[in-house]
Amino acid sequence: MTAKQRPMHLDLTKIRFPSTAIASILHRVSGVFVFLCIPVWLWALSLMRHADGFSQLQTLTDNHLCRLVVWVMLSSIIYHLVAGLRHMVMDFGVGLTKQGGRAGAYAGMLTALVFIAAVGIRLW
Amino acid sequence: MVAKQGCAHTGLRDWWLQRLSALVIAAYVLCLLGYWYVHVDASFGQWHDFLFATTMRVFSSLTLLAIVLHAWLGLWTVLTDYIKPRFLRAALQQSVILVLGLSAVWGLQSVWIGG
Repeated sequence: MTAKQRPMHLDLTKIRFPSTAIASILHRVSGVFVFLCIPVWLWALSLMRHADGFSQLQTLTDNHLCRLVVWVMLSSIIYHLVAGLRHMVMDFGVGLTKQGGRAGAYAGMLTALVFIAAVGIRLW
Repeated sequence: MVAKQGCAHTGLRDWWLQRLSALVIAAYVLCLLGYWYVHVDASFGQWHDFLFATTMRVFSSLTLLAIVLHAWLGLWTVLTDYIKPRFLRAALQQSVILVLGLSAVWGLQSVWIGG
């Protein structure tokens, strides 16, 4: 077969992904999303300077939809943080085997979920 | 990874910078989240005393710079992975740098010329 004739399968909807792959792409997606959220956080920070800005923030976040948005933004930070720490744990050689990687992926996702839930509870 | 980048790039420096900046940001996020979690009903005065104390201002500033570094390295990787056309990638990289640079300036301004 020439290079052009080699079979290729890249149907993402049909490929079964290991937990480690899911953990990894979530880390990447959350990272890009957090970057996009940076202006929002900076805008909030700029409001925190003054009392009227602060109460403006309070009024805004009294709204359920707004709290949901904040929760999504915080959740992506939390997941990215936890998965990032897992990366650094792996730098020390922990969780590099097939089973270890899978365990680490699940542990990371579970830890992130716990914190995300805690933040959600606090928000509401 | 060793290519004509305009400066001597070994992957190792970026590897360290990514992790060091990550630790700074992680500490900051945990600090802020922790404060909010404990003082969920804090008043403006309390938040103000917390955020604009000198120590916190320095911490915020360091974190802003860490974010610029960390986000740049991360997005550089993502762009290199997915955007193959060089001009498009270069344009997007410049946009990212611009956004990060302006963000750092805006953030530093809020932190120091505020409160």
